[in-house]
Amino acid sequence: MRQRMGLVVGALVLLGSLIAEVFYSHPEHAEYWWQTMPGFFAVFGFIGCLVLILGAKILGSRWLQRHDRYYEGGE
Amino acid sequence: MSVFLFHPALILTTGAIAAATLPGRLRRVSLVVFPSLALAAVLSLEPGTTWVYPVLTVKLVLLKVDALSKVFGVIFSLIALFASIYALHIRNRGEHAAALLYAAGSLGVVFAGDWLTLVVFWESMSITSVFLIWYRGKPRSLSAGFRYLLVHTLGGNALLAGVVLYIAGGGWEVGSLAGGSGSAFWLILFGFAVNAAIPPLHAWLTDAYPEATVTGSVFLSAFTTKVAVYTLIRVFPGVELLVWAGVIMALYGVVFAFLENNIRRLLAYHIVSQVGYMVAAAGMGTAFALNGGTAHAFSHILYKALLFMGAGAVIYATGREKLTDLGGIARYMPWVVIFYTIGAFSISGVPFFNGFISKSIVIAAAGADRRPLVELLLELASVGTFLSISLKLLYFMFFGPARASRPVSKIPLNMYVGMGAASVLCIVFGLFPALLYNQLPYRLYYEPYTVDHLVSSVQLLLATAAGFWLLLPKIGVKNTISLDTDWFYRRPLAVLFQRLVDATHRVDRGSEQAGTLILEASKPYFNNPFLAAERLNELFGSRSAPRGLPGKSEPVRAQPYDEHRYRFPLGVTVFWVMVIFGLTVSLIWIYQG
Repeated sequence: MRQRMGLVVGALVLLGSLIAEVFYSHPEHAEYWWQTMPGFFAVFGFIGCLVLILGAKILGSRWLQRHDRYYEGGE
Repeated sequence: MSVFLFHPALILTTGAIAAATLPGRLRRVSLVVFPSLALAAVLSLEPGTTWVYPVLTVKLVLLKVDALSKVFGVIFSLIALFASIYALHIRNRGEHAAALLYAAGSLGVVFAGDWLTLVVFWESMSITSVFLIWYRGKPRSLSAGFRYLLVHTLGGNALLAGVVLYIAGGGWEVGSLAGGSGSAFWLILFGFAVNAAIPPLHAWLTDAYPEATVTGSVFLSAFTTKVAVYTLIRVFPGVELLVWAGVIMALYGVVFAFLENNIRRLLAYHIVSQVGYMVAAAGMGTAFALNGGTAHAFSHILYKALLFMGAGAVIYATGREKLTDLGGIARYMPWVVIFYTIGAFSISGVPFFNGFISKSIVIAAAGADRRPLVELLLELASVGTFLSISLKLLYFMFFGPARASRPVSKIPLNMYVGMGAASVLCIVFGLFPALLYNQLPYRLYYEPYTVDHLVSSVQLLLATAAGFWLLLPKIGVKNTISLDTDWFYRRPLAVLFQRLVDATHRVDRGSEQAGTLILEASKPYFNNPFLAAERLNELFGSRSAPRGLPGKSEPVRAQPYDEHRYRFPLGVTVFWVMVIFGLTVSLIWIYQG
């Protein structure tokens, strides 16, 4: 129930932000193409989040993570 | 008014002496009064003020104020006050004294006008701060503290060497070295980079901060790295190398933070990440970027201290510091959750919190400086910040699956006051950015609350939350640590060192045994010096004149003892007496002549 509420609120805010972006933004201040593209940061954030989580997970499990007592002599 | 005639660092040093000597209640009063006086003293300093003290042949510039040093001085003395309030319940005098001396050192560096003063205060910071780690009293803290001290000694000595070279070249006043090169330039940059925790020189921070005392880590989170940011802005603005060092830091920190299980180590990796923004800003070197770096350091000190206070309160209450041991404690400490969330939203750049108004200056400065890739990578790092500080830590520490039982200790009131004060300022500066912008070293033409900026931030944060929610079943937490660059000196270097010690030990033991054997064997010869002659005679003399020549069957006839056989002839003695007498006389004759 709580989760569904969160999803609905999130979706509404996202929709609101897209509307605001289309109607109230100032593309004349933009320096790069992505700043004028509606919804760019939503896509960027989502993909970036997945890349960071999966990248960190792979890096950690394949290479970096060791048992908590690694430096005290454990492995 | 007379307090304003004292150097702010001197006021905090006096406070440290008071904290170390005064009893009970008076000590607690002094812990609030002296940082407040230091703050008042900093606020009363006019930019342009310079205090010069001639000592022997040099002129020490102990205090030199401009807009940049003043804004750093304000935030350092402010956070010294908040952290002291947070630590009021601590009964350890030494810890209070070390914390205030550490803060005094940071003010000393910020207001230092010449290189010698800067180096002295710089070194004092590492010596005093290590006690905040050691006072935790655990074996892990002791060894982490030693590693911390060794790394800082290396950095400090590099800085000292660079400064000596620079002064020998005719320099004296602290100023920009940008565009320079040569060994002084690189040594000073190396010294600053160690304290700024630029990878691969950052591991001391994430190694030691989580092992410090609960209140000590609040102080630690504020000073060392941000003093280095100040010196980078002052001395190396526009050094291109720093732009990319900063971007790498920002991403490095978030990736490692995401893997981390210890709550304060996770926060420590985010110091590395956030300082990355400031280092990148110093590297860009435009007035816009330097303003951004300064503003972000100001905001960062507030919200990072708040985050460490929140995590510290959790550790204080539950006695646990790993995400795998925590969770489900939100209902026991609602106010800690609220304060922590304010800090988390500030660091993530949620609109109306102070991270939003300062981080965006750095990102916008990258755009204005025609660095699109830097801009996008810094945006990506803020995705990672929201991900691990706000979502992962908040969820697994306070909500999520309950692994912790009821809290064991009650959080004292002063901890709440410290957190509350920092929270209020995080929101106030977020709502009224002009309060901060007016203090910055250069004129700033920037408006954080535009539709475009609000929209892009909201979209970025929402999308991150969606990604987290989607992958939550896969995220989980594991009881692990992550290998970092401290592995090199904790494993291979430690093994090498152990081997060297063993080898030295073997040489020592071996030579001792050999020496004993030789001594044992030669003992008879000391008892009887003529034994040697006899042995030699037995070895060589017997062959040329074998005993028992007359016949094999005839037994060797023992010679009767004759004492004269073993005596030197008198003439030998007389000869040496004459030689020594002659030498003595001729020496006297030579020197007199």
